[in-house]
Amino acid sequence: MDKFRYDLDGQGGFTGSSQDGTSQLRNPGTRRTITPITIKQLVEATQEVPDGDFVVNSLELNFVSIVAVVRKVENLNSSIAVGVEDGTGECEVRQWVNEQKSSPAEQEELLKKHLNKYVYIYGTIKEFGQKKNIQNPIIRAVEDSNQILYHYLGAINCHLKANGVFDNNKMSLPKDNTNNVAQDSSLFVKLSGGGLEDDVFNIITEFSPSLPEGVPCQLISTKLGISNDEVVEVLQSLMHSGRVFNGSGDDNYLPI
Amino acid sequence: MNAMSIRVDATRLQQFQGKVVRVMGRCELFNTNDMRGKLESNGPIPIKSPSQILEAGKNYEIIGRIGSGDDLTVQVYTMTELSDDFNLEVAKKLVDFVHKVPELFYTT
Repeated sequence: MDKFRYDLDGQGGFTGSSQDGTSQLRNPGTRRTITPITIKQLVEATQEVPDGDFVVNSLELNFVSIVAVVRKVENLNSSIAVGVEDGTGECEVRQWVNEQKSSPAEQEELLKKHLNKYVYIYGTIKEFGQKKNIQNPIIRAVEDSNQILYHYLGAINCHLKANGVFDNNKMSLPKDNTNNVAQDSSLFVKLSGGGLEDDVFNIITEFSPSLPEGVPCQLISTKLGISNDEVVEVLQSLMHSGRVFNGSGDDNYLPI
Repeated sequence: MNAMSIRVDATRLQQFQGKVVRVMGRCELFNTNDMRGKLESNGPIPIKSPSQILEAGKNYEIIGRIGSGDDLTVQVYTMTELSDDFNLEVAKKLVDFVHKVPELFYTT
């Protein structure tokens, strides 16, 4: 892998060139996409170069998300430390207190409401004191427990794609890798499905790299020339079958 | 609490006996007299929850230790209630995949 490249999202400047002598621009989508991971992946990620991307099992990490249970909330005055675990490992994320908006005690109380519940956390991965962490984390309650499932399936999906194991078209593992219980190696549960579901899913997949917050319902409706209600119905089915999940809002969708 | 808990369902109790596991499933029954019950997760899982009461018909994720030998009852340490529309079919799928890519989930 070329370790030196032009950093589009950083402070700019050339840090080297690729081996064939041509400058290689990093795909901006890579840096803007939120990668779902497990805490084990977060802990095991390494940096190939200082200030470079973190990598774990060939998967490049920048913006990452984890889904985990809050086990500890501690007020450190200038920040609130939130201890989380997801069964694969544990970590602590710190949310800085904006005293113009709320006091440390108020923020601590808000976060304590999540104790022993699942939360969705996203931010950029950073290392401090030889510990990997999520910087400037956004922490949200998981209200639909299916999001937990979608998150982990998404993490598996990204891992397999990064390792070239995953068959993009069939969305399944190769047969020789299915050595356990599953009879059907597809990542998705087969529900009714069909043409319109696939059309909606394809649009979300197509636009999600440029819309990291999620593809809005309205855009899907316009692209397919169908009503918003029809799109919402299809999206609910896709969410139920674990193929898409909500992005930054209830109206935005991202593929798994 | 040790942060490591392996995701399993009923089909993997034997494989991970004696280990701390994480199970997502629907509580089929729970007897408050002996604090024992049954969780449906790709098959029935006997559970014993000395300190927390589960409600039949609700979905839970439990963390606990599987017994060993003939008694594969899961001793529940803690539990999280899941939403009512939780999809057990997708959960079953997730468990299958967790054990195909253990490098993401646990150390063997």
